[in-house]
Amino acid sequence: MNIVRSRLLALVLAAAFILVGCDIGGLAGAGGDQIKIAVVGPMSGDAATYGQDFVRGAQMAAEKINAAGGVDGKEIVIEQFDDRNDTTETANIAQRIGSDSSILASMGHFTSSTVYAAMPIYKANRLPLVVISASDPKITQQGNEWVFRVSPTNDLGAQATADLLVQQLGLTRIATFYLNTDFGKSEHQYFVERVQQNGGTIVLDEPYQPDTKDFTSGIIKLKNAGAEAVYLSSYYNDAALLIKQAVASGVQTRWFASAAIISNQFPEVGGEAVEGVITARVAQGENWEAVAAEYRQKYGAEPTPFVIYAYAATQAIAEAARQGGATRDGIRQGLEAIENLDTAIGPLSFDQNRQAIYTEFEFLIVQDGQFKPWTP
Amino acid sequence: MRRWRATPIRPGWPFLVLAILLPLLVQDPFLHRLLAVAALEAVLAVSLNLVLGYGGLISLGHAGFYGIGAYLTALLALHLGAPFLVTLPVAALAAAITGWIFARPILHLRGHYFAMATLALGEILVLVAYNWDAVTRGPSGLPGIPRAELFGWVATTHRDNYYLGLALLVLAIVVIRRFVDSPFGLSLIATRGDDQAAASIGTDVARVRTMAFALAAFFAGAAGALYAHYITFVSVEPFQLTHTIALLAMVAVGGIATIPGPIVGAVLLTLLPEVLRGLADLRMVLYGILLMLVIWLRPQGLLGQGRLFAGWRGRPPASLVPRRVTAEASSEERQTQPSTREEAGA
Amino acid sequence: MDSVTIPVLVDQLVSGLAIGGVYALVALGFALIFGVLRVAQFAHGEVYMLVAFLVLTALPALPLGGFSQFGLVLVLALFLGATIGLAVERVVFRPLMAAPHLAAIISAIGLSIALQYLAAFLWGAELHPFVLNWAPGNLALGPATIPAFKVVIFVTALALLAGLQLVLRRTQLGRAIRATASDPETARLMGINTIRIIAAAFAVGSAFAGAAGVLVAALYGVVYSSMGIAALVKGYTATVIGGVGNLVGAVISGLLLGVFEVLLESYVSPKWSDAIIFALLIGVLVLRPQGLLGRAIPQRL
Repeated sequence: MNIVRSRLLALVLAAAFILVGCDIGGLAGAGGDQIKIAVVGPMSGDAATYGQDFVRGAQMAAEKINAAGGVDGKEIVIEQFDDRNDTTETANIAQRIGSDSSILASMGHFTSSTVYAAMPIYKANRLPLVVISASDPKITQQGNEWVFRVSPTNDLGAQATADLLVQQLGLTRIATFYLNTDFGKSEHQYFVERVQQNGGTIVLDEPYQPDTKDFTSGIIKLKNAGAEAVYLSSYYNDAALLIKQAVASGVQTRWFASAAIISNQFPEVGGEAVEGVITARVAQGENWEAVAAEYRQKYGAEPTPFVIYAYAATQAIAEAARQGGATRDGIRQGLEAIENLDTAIGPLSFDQNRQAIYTEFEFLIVQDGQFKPWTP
Repeated sequence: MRRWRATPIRPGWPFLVLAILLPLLVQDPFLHRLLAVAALEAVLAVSLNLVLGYGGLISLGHAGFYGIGAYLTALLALHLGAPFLVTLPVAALAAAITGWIFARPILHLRGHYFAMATLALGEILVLVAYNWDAVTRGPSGLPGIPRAELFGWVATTHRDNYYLGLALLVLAIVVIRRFVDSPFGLSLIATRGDDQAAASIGTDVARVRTMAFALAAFFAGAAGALYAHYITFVSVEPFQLTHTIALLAMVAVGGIATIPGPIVGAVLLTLLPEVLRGLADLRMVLYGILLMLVIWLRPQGLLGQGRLFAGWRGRPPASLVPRRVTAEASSEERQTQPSTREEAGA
Repeated sequence: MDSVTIPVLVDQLVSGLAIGGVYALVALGFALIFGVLRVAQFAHGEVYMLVAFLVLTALPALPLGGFSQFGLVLVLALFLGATIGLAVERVVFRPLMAAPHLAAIISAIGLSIALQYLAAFLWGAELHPFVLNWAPGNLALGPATIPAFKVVIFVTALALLAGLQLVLRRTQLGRAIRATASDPETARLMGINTIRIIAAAFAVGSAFAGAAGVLVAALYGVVYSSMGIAALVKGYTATVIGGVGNLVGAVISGLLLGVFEVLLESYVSPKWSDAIIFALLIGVLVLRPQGLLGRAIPQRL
């Protein structure tokens, strides 16, 4: 290699390392008076609303708690991380969070798939994770004692909707579309089982990959399936697109979907086509309403349920730190010991699998571009 | 006919020493993580360069071989409890064999047709991984892969995995260098310019291209094995076209048909998004702009031959595109030809 | 699986031709640029995406009724596409004309990355609804009902292609483009200002990408910053299958690609349709390396 090139190379590499070195200098360690909680979720990309709501919910709770003196004088600090809703990036971020000893607990990871990717890493690092959205029931059935969940599992909502359709509305020929991910497959399975138990028939069973924007072939099948109702195990983007394209193609039916569609984006993307879509979600008590009102006032928009779950998770972690000590192990033990804690979701208790217990569900319908309560 | 002689890796020693010492001098695990990732990217870039720079073939499926290595490692480790010393060679060989099998029917294709075929292969590999739920768990991926273990030593920290990556990189450099300097390598370079002429003097064009392709796939697969044991989780994202494109950028920025070029490119383009992280949303915009800027100033790459700012011209030359020739057929071959003064290697 | 009936088949065919028309336009633009410049325009998808966003932003200022709005939107898209194309050619490709091919490709890739994330920064990374005032409803075609808009897209694509063919065969500009594509050195020697011709080809090719962008936005109802990548892959694929340098081949391949996609998704598997198409692509390349309609190149090995 000639002189010019090796000099150029040396210069370039030196510059690179200096730049990175300067950047790295910015990473400070945490003080001992802080309880740092990592909030992880999609902060960029098309699911960014969810990540944003995670952070907002957690921060609102942290402010309240800190204003009341914190946890034995220690301040709760929220640090956000972007997993881009991508399983590989999640593994990277989880490792990063795990090896940062100033972080005492973590919450988030939006989808069941990303939670699965992260779970072994949290366990290996002995860092408690509180799930606040991922709904595959099997997450808390893996025997991983570092994973807790404050949000509901998807079997409950799916079963409640199945009961509604067959038993109360008398719709027995049902078509289903589901996202081919852990969340979609799981929710779909519970829905189908319950429908069949109730005596209904599934006339169409269509999985689709995440990122699908073109639902043409599924919609054509739907047109010819003779369905009285359609159930979507989907998120807001795909559900909105599917319904919009179906309606434009001339499909006329009743639409039902999982609670994951509850967001401002759903009516925005779906437009007129999604008026009348019905979904089930956990019953909201007074605490929930109070936090929702606070959010509305602060941000001028409707909160998704995830704001509330993040809020409750923060409350739970704070209480756990109070009871078990401000360490990773202490927080884990403290979380396990929680019984009827007063939180944003109401009284919080975990079952033997560290899953929060929910019992009541209610329905919502999209009307005038908003989700409103609905009874059959 | 040139006698085959081994070219010593003399110019590289100081950099190797620096590479070994750096993570010992700087204790920050964040830097170690970056170095580990950069090492893997460097292996991928160096192996891609064998096909692209020396072979003159645009391969758009390289990340797919990375994926074969990673997925196979994950499956062997999770279902059969296979240790690192088994998964690494198996993954590398599987990728190499896939490369070999695939290269044979397509290597008579010209330029963009070859690129298209490799793109299709890469996409098929990703789609299989994404859709074959029963084996690969589809979009959910395969979590819980054990760390690499070598004779009792477990690669737990970022630094440990960096050293593994560095070892693989050194191996790749040595092997590829030997290949390039050997009669096979020289034949390969001859085919890059004009394969008809090369064939006319007795070069078995098919054979050398297949060898290069398989060898490149071998190292990509090996890198995949390292990846699986390091991240402990495998899913489709790192094996998609976007990653291959990033690798192309690394090779181009560093300088094609040089050994250190792709390494420089890999290090820079791995560090760049991190350096820019403070800019949040505009980070990748700046990344793209910098990419364009570097290529504009030095189209031959940072370590390519040529004047310092060879791209700094006021206007295009009067004679248009001297690199294009008249017949459509041979114009396809001159896809990645560097300037005619470019030597075969560093 | 329901039995295959005529209405279903017609529905599928029309849907396939509609999205195929979009692919054909993208491929046509890509092939045109490639034919003249001999470099793959890797930022082609981002032109498609940017025009869709720009038109989306302009829509509120175009409160016209149905068809007029559509026509205006189309014209606007063509114009914006051409402008962006000219800018890209001048800033990214022209300075690298004497450089190795790979340099131009990487530069285009850099541009593609920058534009994608710029769009996400300016408009937001989420899906943006794209709704035209025109809702032509459904047509009855024998026993089948098909969405009229899909037919419109197909017809628009064909019309633009026909227009291009007219220009290429009947005008001086067209002849100059064909000459440059076929043999740039000789074209230059014959007095053709090849630099201007390349710019013109870029403008036209990018205009088509822009048109494709708004058509697909109206078809699916959304615009999003990463929509360009899929378009690029489809366009590149169709160009190569059709035979590099062959414009009609690119269009036919685009249409076939669209139809195949829908049929495979419906009758084989929605998950595996893309993989099957890529496998077929490899088959075509191995058996007929010059593409379906490309000129036969002697194979030497």
